[in-house]
Amino acid sequence: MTEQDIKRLVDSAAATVPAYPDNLNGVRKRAAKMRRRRTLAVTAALVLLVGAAVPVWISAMNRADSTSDTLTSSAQPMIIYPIALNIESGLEKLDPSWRIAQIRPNRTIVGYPLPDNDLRHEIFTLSQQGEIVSVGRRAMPEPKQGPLCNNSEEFVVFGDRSGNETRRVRLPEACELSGIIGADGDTVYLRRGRDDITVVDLITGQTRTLLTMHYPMSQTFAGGTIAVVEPVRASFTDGQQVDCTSDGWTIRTLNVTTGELRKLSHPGSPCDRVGGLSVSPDGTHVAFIQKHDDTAQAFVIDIATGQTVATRQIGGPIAPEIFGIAFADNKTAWVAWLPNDRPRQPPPRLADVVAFATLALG
Amino acid sequence: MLIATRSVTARASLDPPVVFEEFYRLHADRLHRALALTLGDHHLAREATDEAMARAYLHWARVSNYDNPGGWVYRVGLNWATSWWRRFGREHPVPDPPSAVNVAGPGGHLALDLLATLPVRLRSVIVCRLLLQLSTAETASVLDLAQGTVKSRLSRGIEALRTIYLRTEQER
Repeated sequence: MTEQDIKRLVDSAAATVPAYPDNLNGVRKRAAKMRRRRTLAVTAALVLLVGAAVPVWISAMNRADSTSDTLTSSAQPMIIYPIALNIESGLEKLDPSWRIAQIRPNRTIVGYPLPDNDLRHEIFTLSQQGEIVSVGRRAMPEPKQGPLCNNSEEFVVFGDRSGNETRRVRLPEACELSGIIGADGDTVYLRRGRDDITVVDLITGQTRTLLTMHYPMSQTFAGGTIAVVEPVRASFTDGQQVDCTSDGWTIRTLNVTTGELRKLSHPGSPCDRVGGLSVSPDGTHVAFIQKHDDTAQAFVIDIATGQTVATRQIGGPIAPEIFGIAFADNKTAWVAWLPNDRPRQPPPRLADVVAFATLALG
Repeated sequence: MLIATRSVTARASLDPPVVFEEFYRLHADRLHRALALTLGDHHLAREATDEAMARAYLHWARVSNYDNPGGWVYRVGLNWATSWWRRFGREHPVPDPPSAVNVAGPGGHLALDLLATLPVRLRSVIVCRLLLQLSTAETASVLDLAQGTVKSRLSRGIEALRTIYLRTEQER
């Protein structure tokens, strides 16, 4: 097939699309509606600005300090660090045009804008005051965790907290996601194509496929262990095979040193959704979030025994929006979520709360 | 961003008319088809075309001065549809399985299914280059990409289509 054949193919596909009906009047009406909406929004913003500024100013004048703005821990047994997002640097970027990709053990959030989600990462850090502060694009705050897939064909490695580029490696094939650099600093593990976990030698540029998966959804690497989530075919008691590929997942781990592959069974229905995978720094535990209907639960599993060593219900009876789970150290994992029962107003700052909780591993 | 050097053939077909109505009459159907192929959903494509055309109408004084207002409308429609995906459940514009995407309705064309197997980012380049007949520079400008990226995505897209097509033929 030549390019001309492909062009004919595209033309024939276009020819099968139903014709666009003449809707000029509809377009004009839509434009008029947009204009009205814009005018209304500007007016409302001005009114709100004036309305909000006056009480805030009065409140500021009456208050000696701002300690009452600090949110306190709830009565729940877990440790909660309520975080008020900085609207300027966090909320407006993260929602709706930004998406949080992952959280890192040092309480760093990695986000990216849609739709160029695999190319432009932006890193946020959490300040001591709980504000999410943008560090900048493609700046990776942790050494040995900074290779990024660039233009789908090459890797850029950022080696220090200031985000300086340390090296650049061209790949023979496209990389789909950002990879994870190994403990030696010279090896990158990444997902390439659709099904393969591949290791790339940053010095020689050679690649080697470690693991072939069936439509993997996410992978993570730490302490010499790669963990991946992939769809399962659930087997029910009547023996009938039910395809759960839309929302059922299983977890596999691979020890890159020994080549040992393990399949972890997670509690609950095989069709429960599993996500937010994280491997402990020593590579011995894997943490993840499991969603069943409307509830969410965090689990930590010992890879060697397959046993659940910690679990925690996240949020109330209705699952909140969960940003991710990550290990702070070998004994503690933490979860970030946006509580869905947060009061929206007043005060308005409560609407922007992200909570963090720890799961102690005995 | 949208200023590009256009080829003679492209200029003949995409010269910006002075009056919006003329632009709409000349390009709406073509842009709708382009968006339908890119998005894999002609209902969404129609909405996206209407939305983008309405925005073009609203800012026509500015848009008509662009070298390629059609490209601008295509990009606005694509962005709008991406936002729609995001708001209504689809987190990423990833391709659906071929059987689930059917632009033409029941009994849809094989070509549509083939195109639907590609990611949106490859589809958009193929549509710009092969259907809208934009040059590499124009496509890069419209999609906000480097020219090298346009070339590599076009090459990858064509190669993928060729592979899938041959595989489908063999299965038949």
